[in-house]
Amino acid sequence: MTLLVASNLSRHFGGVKAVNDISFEIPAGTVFGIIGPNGAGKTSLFNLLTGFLPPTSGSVRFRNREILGEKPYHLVDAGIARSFQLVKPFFGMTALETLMVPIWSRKLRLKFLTREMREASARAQLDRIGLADKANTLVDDLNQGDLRLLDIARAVSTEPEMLFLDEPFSGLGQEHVTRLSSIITDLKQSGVTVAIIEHRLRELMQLVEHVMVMNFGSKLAEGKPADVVRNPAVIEAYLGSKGMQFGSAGG
Amino acid sequence: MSRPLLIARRAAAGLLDAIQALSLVFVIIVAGIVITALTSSNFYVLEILVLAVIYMQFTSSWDVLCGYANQDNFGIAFFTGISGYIAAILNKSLAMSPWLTVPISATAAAAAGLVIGWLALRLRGPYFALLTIVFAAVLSKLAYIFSHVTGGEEGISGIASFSRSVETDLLVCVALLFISVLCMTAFARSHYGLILRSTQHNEDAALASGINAAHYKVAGFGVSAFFAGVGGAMFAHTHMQVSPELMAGSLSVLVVLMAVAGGRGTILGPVLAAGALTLFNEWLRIIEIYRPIIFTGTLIVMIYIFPSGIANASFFARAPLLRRLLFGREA
Ligand SMILES: Nc1ncnc2c1ncn2[C@@H]1O[C@H](COP(=O)(O)OP(=O)(O)OP(=O)(O)O)[C@@H](O)[C@H]1O
Ligand SMILES: [Mg+2]
Repeated sequence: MTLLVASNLSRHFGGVKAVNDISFEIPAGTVFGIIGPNGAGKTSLFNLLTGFLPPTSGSVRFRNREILGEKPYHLVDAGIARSFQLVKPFFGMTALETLMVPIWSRKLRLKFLTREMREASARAQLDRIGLADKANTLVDDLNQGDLRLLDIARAVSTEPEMLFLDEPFSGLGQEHVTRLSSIITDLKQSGVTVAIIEHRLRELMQLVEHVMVMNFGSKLAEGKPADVVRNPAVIEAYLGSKGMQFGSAGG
Repeated sequence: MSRPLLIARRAAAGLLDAIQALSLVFVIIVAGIVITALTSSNFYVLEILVLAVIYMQFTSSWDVLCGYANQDNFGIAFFTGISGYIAAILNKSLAMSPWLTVPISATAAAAAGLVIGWLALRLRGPYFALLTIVFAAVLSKLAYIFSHVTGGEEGISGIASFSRSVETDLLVCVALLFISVLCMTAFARSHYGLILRSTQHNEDAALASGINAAHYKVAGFGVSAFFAGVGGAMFAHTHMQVSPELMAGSLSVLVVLMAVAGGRGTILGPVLAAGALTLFNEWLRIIEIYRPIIFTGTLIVMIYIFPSGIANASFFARAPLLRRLLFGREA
């Protein structure tokens, strides 16, 4: 089954075609990778898909329903969640409080009726990303890696069907990378569809079954990771002269 | 469970939680004021206590939105003013009793708060502050333009007081303050407070968590305006007159300064600071000419020493019991 279908999606900023007439499909239950050089339009694409950016034109259907242009919080109700490339922590709040926020979304507020239930749920999410011991730490005092994991946990807390992760591995040390990889694998196993933007190809290639390559807002190539990284156009655009090295790393 | 029932249940649970979390010092102060009202017949002392209670009402109503959302409303006098004048007009021209004018005028202030809150949604920092200043300034200009209704510079006098005695007026005011502080504490400790705090720096993450941040900000504005409105009506029915001072920029600034000095985002910090500072200001009357300088100077020094306010001073992080006694339970 196809969960999400984007057709002829565009977003221009003045003369810059950040997303330029892109079409693709994300099958349910898969991990979908998006790669591309800096400024290729990956984050803009996520912003379009998650309601953070009004489109110039196009269509996005999620479970056969048009969702383009809907508000982010309505998309959360529909089952779409995202993390941010630039983490936006709730400064002045603790890690536990951070994960209490999604519980008040329209989707979940009736699921956890008592304070105990809400707190237990937030603690379970913290536990899952390995931050249980930092429950009462202010996010102001967390390091970059912890903040990124917390942001991902915040997104996961909304119990999404489709999860968009924007460079989830960046800024993570090896221990955090391992933990996050296993979380993504778990999510996939429990039926969540995941789309990942990533620069760290090693992690990405192990996780995804399908990759889309973007360049200048357009789709450059798409397919199995092993095939895509051998595509000469991709090597040329994405890595220039370092292409050969990249090809062997991915294979 | 039906929605109204669920909301009622949450509200009841919230109030119960607020009672359990309440600051002991505040309870003692309220009890002290009640005892004074019942035993003292010193007109001067009673009047000052009424004023202190009104300022406590003003600053806490400012804090319930601004302290949590970290947005500075420099126009709280818009709400105290509009409510005070509405109470005055309803009382004078329709002979309405204070028991009706207080809820009606506070509700009108809340409605105005919802509108301004909606208009201010996209604004942050200085732009947000400017919008609130402009609204308050326009309102006080309107009071001059429509002077046949508002009495212009003179204001409206001859408003009925709550009762025939200052003692009873003080009891009414302190009861209203106590209930207001309980309700605002419940609001701030509920998910409304949590979500307002989450929008302090950037609301994208709240939106991405499925939260309609605008709803919470507008609601916060309404709540803040409502309780500021209660304060404005309290003023009208204790001072038996309202004047443009009740909607003046100087009042707005004073409320911000007292709340910030007390410690934003704590409700009780601003309450205690407003009470203490009002008494201090009265005490300074013994050196009347220097009073404004010493008073504002003290405020500025306080904010200089404790930039995030007394209740948020790092000192209290190391003295949780003292913090609990003064400002109530934190979590
Ligand atoms: N709000 C905006 N206003 C104007 N231009 C923008 C805006 N957002 C993105 N752009 C431009 O759109 C293009 C795509 O940016 P985007 O952030 O989507 O790229 P990216 O692939 O995520 O890059 P990176 O790998 O650096 O994160 C860039 O040229 C960028 O400058
Ligand atoms: Mg990006």
